[in-house]
Amino acid sequence: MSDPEPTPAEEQVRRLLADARHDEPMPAEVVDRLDRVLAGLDLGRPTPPVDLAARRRRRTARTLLVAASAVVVLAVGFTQLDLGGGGGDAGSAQRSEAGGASAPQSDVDGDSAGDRSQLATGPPVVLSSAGFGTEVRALLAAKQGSASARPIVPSLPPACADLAVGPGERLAVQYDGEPGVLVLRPPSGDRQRVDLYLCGETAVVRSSTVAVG
Amino acid sequence: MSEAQHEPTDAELLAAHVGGDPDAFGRLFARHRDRLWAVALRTMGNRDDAADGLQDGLVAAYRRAGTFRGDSAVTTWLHRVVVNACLDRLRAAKVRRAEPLPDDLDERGDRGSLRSATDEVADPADHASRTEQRAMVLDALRTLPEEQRAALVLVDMEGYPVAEAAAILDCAVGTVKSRCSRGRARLAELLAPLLDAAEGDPHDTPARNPVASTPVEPTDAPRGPPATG
Repeated sequence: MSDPEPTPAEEQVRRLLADARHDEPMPAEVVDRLDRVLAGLDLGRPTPPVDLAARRRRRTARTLLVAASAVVVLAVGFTQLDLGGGGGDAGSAQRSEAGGASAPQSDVDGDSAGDRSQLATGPPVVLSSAGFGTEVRALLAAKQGSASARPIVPSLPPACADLAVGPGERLAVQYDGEPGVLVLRPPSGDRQRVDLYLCGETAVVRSSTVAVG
Repeated sequence: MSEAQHEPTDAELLAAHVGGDPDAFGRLFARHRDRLWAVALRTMGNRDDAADGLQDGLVAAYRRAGTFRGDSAVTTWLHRVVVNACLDRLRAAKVRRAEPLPDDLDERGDRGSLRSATDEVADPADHASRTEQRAMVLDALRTLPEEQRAALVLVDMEGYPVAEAAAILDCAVGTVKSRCSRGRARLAELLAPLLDAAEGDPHDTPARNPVASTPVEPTDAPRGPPATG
């Protein structure tokens, strides 16, 4: 019943902690983000819930395999992207697929379909619930390092093609073995948010904010 | 006679959500989001990770609302879900972290809200000193094991009663007390310069310890939750 009296130092620590309390409201951008997530959850309500905890339990057995697969897929994917540009050196950034010549965007008529004509195809990037943040960082780093300015949307599954995911570059992924779309939101300053959607679901399943630049 | 508009309780909103009301969960979350944000922010240590953790908790709470049994207040349950989501993220980061996360490093330099001093401090020097002191406290807090940090955030920062903090953290009251005690002891070591300064003349030392507007009450007597805005 009787707890030991707090020492003066402990009392001071408590005072310092109380003084460091955060009193400001949730920032507007976080409110907006969570509102969008909620809206997505509402829209997708009839769909079976995504049990993140179950995913977490399942992940242990495959963490190593998934991580290794991710590295291989990333390496293959970005190597493929750079093949047309001459091997991935920094000087190849502006080269098109047409033989490495400097002909940026010459094959695009300027309409929205043009974006699609620039899309690279390939196998989906493998992500796991266990290593999501790290894998996303590695993905963006590899993407920047690839010096390829082209959007990358490898083989979006049909169930994902019509997902309303908002602005951002879309990337087909396998998340814990399930098909999904990773949306790379437009960078805000030195930060870039990345949202994961699973095919057939309208809600964001995972998000991560990554330092860029 | 007067048709007083009935404001649904948290439990009613949660039940309405489970029953299919599309607006109920949003209303419930809006009621508590600022405080949930504060807890997530202080537990995670930076805004980006806090937003991620809070989002995880939001999604989990939304989807698991049907499992709420009413053993605790809805707000306690909400906090538990969010804190667990944050702790899950911290543990996962700790497991996979081979090097400091960029966010951790960036946090020290460019994120004002972590060191936010919303107080109306008139003297810029005082303001700067206090901001610096807060930064030191938060940096020290982040070095603690996540369970100790979460306990201190709830009890010492947010003013939850130990019993409610225990309910949020899903552990015994004694465990919360023990975590708080160990955490404070460690912080006392890390923040020794601040404590030493405070033991001198708190009003004349450059990095002085601020005098809280209200005295910190004993562990079992909560300061009470902040007014929700």
